[in-house]
Amino acid sequence: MMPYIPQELITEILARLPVKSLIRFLCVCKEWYALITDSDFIKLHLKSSIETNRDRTLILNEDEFSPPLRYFSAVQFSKDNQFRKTFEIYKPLQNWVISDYCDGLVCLHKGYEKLEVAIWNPLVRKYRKLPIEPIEEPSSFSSAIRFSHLAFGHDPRNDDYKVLRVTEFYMADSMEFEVKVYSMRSNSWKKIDEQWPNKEICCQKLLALNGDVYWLAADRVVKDLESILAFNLATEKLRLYETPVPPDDDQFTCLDVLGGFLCYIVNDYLNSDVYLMKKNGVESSWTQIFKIKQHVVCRDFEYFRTLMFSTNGKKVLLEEHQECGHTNLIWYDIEKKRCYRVKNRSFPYVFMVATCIGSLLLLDGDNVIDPRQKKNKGKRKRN
Amino acid sequence: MKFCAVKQYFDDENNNNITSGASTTMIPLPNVESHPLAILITYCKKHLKIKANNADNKKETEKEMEQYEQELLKKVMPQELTELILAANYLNFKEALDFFCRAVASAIQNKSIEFVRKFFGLESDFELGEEEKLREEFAWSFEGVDED
Repeated sequence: MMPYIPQELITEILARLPVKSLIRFLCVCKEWYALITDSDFIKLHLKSSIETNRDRTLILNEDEFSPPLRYFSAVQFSKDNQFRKTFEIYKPLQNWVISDYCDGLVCLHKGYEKLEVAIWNPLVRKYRKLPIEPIEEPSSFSSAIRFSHLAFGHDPRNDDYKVLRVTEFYMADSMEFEVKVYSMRSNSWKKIDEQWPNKEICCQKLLALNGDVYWLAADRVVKDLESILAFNLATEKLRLYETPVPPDDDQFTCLDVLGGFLCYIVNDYLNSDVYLMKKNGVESSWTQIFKIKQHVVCRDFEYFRTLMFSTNGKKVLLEEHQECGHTNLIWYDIEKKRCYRVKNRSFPYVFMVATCIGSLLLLDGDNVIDPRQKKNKGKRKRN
Repeated sequence: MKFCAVKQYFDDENNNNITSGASTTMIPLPNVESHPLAILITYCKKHLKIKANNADNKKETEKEMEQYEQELLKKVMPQELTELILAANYLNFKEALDFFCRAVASAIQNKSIEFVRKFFGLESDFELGEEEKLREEFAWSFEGVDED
């Protein structure tokens, strides 16, 4: 006779399973359905996924200039840092673009104003469109150029996933901002009335990290003064940080995230210096962790994004964007100062990486129905 | 001491000032069968030995432990795993509990619903049509599952 296993031990076993298995096991019995869909279990499972890099999948997001495809290319990136073969993931919304990602969820948007936003869990095949929140133009800015930025992240204080939308309005001499935040818990948008400093956003992306959203901002008055701004998703307040080094005229800078830390990259045509803010929120903790000499070490690259450290922390995985447009994934060995290119013929020519991890969030979302799935319905053996 | 439940017993004894003196103390473990207990004792001894041998090298410890665990799994029947989990849980032996839970997860990961129900002695208690609806919604998760 099978020994009776108490619920907390079943939970221990289930928390160690990959997402696909758990989805299938929703059908085992009512108790298991309740266990797997319980929000505390989902958090426990996510934590375990993050710790073990379970179900880690890189979505290779092609740029808007590539021909529109119905599927994203993706590759499984196992915990021992091996790339498995690439496969295809059906896009939940055609012609939408990936803006950001967090805890296995991917944020998508449509249009340059980014009015249409959706959140998607590719491994669970569920998505949800956000309610459309109009951009309110400030008075006297009716002929302004405007541009929206999106960030998606977790607010640990409220245990909520939020989307931040910052819209800049530019006129000849002045600028204005509109800032709105969407909360997944309340499924609603809210306007932020905080006074915004007169600094332009001067980086490609806003970065969400540990409950804050960071970006590089250039002062409109004091030329060449660059700062890092941080918006806290819980307090909804802004903070200003100094960059580790003041960049020169001929250098260009990027902000990124690496190993759970804020990362600042200074590029010129000879070198790229990479700094890490080793203690979150502590300016004095900026540390240079490595420097890549362009021509000696790598091929001509225009810029790179830092993706993640290897397990032992001795190598860094970089998304290298070459001048000719080609994208490569390369491992940079910090000690040996050498690059190793990840060879995979099925990677797209140009892409940006969105990292997903095994997560059961958004189980109550709308289904993503892969048309290829429907075709095979008749042929598949029922289990 | 890895068997936290046993440690607790000793701590309680000391608190009650019972002079146990002798090195052979009988500790009642009513909820653990002798066979899984023997395996857990061997596991524990091996773990401590490997740890002592590789005092400073954590990576070596992990590697050797993994090799031992692989060997152990070959000798243990899947059904025994549930007994081992219960025993490790009762003894509050965290490392073994983690290991055996991982082993069960690994064993059932790619299996069918029917296999899992049989393994844990469960029955479907869904309302009429509920299970069918779920299978329809998540049909993709049934692909590539091991044959029973």
